[in-house]
Amino acid sequence: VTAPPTPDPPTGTAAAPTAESLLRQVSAFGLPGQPDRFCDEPPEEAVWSSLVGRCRGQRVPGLLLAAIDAGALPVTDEQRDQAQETHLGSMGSVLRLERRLLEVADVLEGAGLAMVTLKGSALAHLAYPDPSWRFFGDVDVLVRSDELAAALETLAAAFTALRQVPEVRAGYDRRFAKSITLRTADGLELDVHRNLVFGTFGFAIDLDELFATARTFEAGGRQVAALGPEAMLLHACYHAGLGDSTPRMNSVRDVAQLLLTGEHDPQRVLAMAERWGSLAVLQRGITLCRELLGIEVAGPLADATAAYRPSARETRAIDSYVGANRSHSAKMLASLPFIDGLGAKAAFVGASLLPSKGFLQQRRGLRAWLRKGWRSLRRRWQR
Amino acid sequence: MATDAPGDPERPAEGAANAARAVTWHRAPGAVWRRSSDRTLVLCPGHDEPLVLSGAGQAIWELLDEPIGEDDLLATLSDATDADPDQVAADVRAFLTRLADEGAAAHEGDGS
Repeated sequence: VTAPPTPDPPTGTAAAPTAESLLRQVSAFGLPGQPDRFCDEPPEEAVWSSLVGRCRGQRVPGLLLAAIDAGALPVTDEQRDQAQETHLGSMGSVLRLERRLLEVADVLEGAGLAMVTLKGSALAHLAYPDPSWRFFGDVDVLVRSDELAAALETLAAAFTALRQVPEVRAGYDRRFAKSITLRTADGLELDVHRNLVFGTFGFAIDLDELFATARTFEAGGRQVAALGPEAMLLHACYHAGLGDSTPRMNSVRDVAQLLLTGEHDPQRVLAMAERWGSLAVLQRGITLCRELLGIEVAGPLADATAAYRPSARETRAIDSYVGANRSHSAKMLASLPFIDGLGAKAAFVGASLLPSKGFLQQRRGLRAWLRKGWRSLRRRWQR
Repeated sequence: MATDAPGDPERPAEGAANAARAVTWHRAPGAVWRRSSDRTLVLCPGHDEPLVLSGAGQAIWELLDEPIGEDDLLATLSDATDADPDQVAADVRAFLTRLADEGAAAHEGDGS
């Protein structure tokens, strides 16, 4: 995928920039085809203050500092110091998480359990020109479904970690869960994934392929496993496209960064997306780059997805994640057409509708659980 | 903790500054780091707060990207400054010793 030159680059030199416009430019900073300079003067204090807060909230403090250092965003000395302080604080947190990742890798590999790093450190080291551009707030690792229970037990023991939500029902995690969150004694969050996305599109992902195509990156003097280039791009699309109705800028930037500078083979991405039934998600990822970052993308992936028309089941699936009536129940219903076989559908519905006692106790009882699910279903039916 | 420049006045360099020593320095296993403009943060094993390097300290950290002989390191840094080579050597050795004490760097060979 290449980024053609923008015919009328949004230099922002004509009118005083807003925090919103600067956030968009900061979030796209350093991508091919982007302007070298956002504006001619340092932002007014109110705009600057808002921009720093937004960059923190959208997890792009590294891009803000990089844009300042490159001269794309002129600032006062005080503003620069503030940007660097924000960045130093965020990188302190990132380093603690990265060290935890290395410890997790040591523990899992020491127990003979396979793992692949998702997002965070893997993207920082493999996708970005400088890992300090990419902030992250937790540790995500992928393990094999049949080793999930062993991995959770091993990690809980090694880090005195507690599971945040009990298993919905015995056997649910191994078959249907996307991830399980552990909180360690020192307050760090550790997300142990068995899949890249819950329900719907997740059923079509070849989980063995994620391990078979894995590569490594270097951190702290050791090699750590990460997704292969094609799977990493598709995962970024799942995360940005199905995570929140309006995704964080750093999630969309991940998609753009990988699309424009990633090591993937476009034809392999398309083949993988077809096998995984995720062309609609790839299409949404490219659309988000255009709409939220204001960048243009071209090339085989953009061409293939531009011509793609999502099916009704794909549209319903995406809507269940990011539409106005998104909910867990909506995702569950939207998942049914993606599950092969009546037995598997029944198992999924049964496990989701009839949770275990321990799970219900944490979710304030059966009545509250059913009431919440009923309200959610009624909202969908009434649309 | 912040380390702005090689040569900690409270930690004088050990041994003769110009003694030739077959020592190879490298970043310590487990030390993770990020660049933040004119500073570098290094989180060392066993520490909760990162070491903050700047100036020549940041330059030395960059040179430790690959294992490097102490003599080569000193020669590279001496070439980059007009300062007295003996003083540079003493300051750099003191700084490397501090990095090793903090768990950020390690060396192989005769460091005595």
